[in-house]
Amino acid sequence: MSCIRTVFSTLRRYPSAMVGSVLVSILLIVAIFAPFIAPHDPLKLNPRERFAPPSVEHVMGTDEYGRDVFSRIILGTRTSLGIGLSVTLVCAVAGGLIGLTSGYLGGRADELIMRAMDILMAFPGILFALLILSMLGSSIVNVIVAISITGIPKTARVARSSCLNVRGEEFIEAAKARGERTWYILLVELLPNAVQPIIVEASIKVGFVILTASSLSFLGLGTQPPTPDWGLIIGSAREYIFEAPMLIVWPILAIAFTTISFNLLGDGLRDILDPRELGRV
Amino acid sequence: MYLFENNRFSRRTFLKGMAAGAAAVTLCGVPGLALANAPKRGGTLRVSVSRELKSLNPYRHVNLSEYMQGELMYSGLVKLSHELKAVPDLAESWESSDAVTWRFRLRKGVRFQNGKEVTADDAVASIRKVLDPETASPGRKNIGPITSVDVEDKYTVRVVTAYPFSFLPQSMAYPCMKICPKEVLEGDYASLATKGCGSGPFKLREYVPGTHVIFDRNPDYFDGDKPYLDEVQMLIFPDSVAETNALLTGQSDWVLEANISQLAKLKEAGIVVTRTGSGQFPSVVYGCDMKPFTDMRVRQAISLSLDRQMALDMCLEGFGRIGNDNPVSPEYPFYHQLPERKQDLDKAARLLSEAGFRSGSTIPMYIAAVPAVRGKLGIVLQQCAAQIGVKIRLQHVDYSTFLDQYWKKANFYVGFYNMQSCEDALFQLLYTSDASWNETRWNNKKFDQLVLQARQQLDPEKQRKAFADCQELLYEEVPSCVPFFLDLVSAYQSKVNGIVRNPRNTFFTIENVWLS
Repeated sequence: MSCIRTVFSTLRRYPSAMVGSVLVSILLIVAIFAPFIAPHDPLKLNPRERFAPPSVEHVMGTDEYGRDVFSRIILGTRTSLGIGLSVTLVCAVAGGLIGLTSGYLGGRADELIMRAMDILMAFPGILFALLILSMLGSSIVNVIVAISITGIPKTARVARSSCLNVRGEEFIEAAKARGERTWYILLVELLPNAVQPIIVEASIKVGFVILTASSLSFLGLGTQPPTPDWGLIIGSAREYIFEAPMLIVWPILAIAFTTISFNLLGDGLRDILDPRELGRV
Repeated sequence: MYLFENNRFSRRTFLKGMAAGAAAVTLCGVPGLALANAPKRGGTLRVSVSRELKSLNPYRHVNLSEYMQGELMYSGLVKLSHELKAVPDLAESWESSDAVTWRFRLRKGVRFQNGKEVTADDAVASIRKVLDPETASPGRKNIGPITSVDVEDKYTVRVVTAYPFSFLPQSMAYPCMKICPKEVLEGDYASLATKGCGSGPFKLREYVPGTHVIFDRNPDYFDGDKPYLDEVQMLIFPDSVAETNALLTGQSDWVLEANISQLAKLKEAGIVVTRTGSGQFPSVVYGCDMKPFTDMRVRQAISLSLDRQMALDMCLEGFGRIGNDNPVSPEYPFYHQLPERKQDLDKAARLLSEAGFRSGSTIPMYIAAVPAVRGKLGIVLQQCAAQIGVKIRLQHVDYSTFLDQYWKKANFYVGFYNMQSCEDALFQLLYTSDASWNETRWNNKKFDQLVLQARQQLDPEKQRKAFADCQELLYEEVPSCVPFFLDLVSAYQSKVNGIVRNPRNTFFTIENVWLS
């Protein structure tokens, strides 16, 4: 109980973290319980109710196939959060390991790994993802792979610089003197002391990943119709922009809401985990 | 009367005037109409198309954009009128006493764009080029069962068919059957892919793949004052919203295939919208030699699960007519009316279980990005088929990937086809065992036999009977599901005159178009 109280008292001192974590919790709850929250089947066609305006029955109206937009937006939370969180996890684990190894090894290995990361970073992220997707074909798994590959270098850089700060510390020298293996030093000595910047980077990344995934779906290269996906909804509603402009507005609001929530949470975490701030807790 | 004296008169105001009352029309009388219809020379027509040109070589053309480019640069022997009759192009007349030996007489004094006169030599070389298997022309199987082509004299071509074949003139109007100079065909044939030399109304000026093709007027074109335009630009817009916006903002003059969901907006902006019934159709193609579609009952079941009225409304906003898996539309001369195929989920489920189809099996279906109707039909069919336990996974691929990897190869995808010049041409293109694009691999011997009978037959009533049997077979065995036929919808600026859509959708007759 005291642990929870500490979390709450900390959060109270950082309003953006407070708001961010509340909003993200709401999103997570919506994503987990989406099929129970959605009032209608998001895939069911309804020829008699195409382009219906918002009503009690259809809170956000219906789309060109007469499907309930509200249900599609709710189910879309799953797709977006699923992709956002998986990519972030992949990036944090892979990028973190690459960065830590590179920083710890130093010298030529470090040069080699970092230049390879620079090359990956030199491509604009969305273009690189497009390239990968047109080679692999479009599916949710491939979207995760594509965005992860573009996202790993940044995490690796953050992890490396964080590792460089810790590498010279005496406890590392002590571990080396004890004759510990490299993987032990990396995971047990280095990682816990260099993990905070990686966590902050990851939490801010979720928002960007969701934006990128939506852009890819919008371009028709991400998730496939009729999967409820915000980017995809914008993509297909664009054709009816003059007839039913609200069809585009709903998914845009959803994307904006999610991105802002994760950015607030990330900013808050950064403040909380800042070493200068930590002393005050 | 004032209507016609006004310089700012447009086709739109003219139509409004027509609608205003018969009295006005009577008053205007013939002189007024003649004035309204007198074409003006000059100007640039910018027409936007959605599909990319893969090659400028007319012998290899497969899509609308390519057909249009082919027609602008080249002439054939025969054209197809808007009533689907064979009419003269380079051949001013043709005759045959037995429908086996045909003589096509060429116009005299027509010149290619390199200055050389068009003679029977060129026509014979061109026909042979289409027939040559090495050319791999889609026209090879479609210009008729030709056994020999010879020069009779400088301006007469003699064509002999394997058996009496009364559809030869219409078949010669196949869009790939263009006439090129003999020395180009035998010399630098590869240059046709990027350059070209024809006797058509326009000459190629610039070709930027994926972006645009620009043509200049051919001053030596044989048909009177035509063409009226100085320049034609074909703009390639793979995205239909961008294409519509280009028309709205005046960056283009004519959207060849208008986006139906935006017609209201176009009409509001004073754009002319026309609608022509055609035999163009999307089809759900079953690879009949691959599981699970080897079993006719699976094909029948999926076709029965589809709610066609819903598909027509959702895919085309009603701009079309319902089909019943018979690919022959009412525009064709030997259309045979069959009962409407209504959605029947019970019967569909029964057929599936008889066929031993495992409920819940997932079948991937390939969908090309253009035209959009493919994707929409996919979504509707997916939901309909789910009701009888067939799970369809939609795989969206871009158009060129689709053509390269899935079209004619995959066992389940949405095809999209133009109307053909006659029933025979349609069947020879898609449904017989030796069809050019035998995508269904249905390979039905009885069907092949009936098509052969019909084309050898000179008596139209017997032809009608054989073609009716063909259509019944297609209706019964469902090698592909034809849910509806599209209307051709064009949208153009009111200053553009003379646009008429051919139901066959291959002849665009841009030489008749003029700007006011």
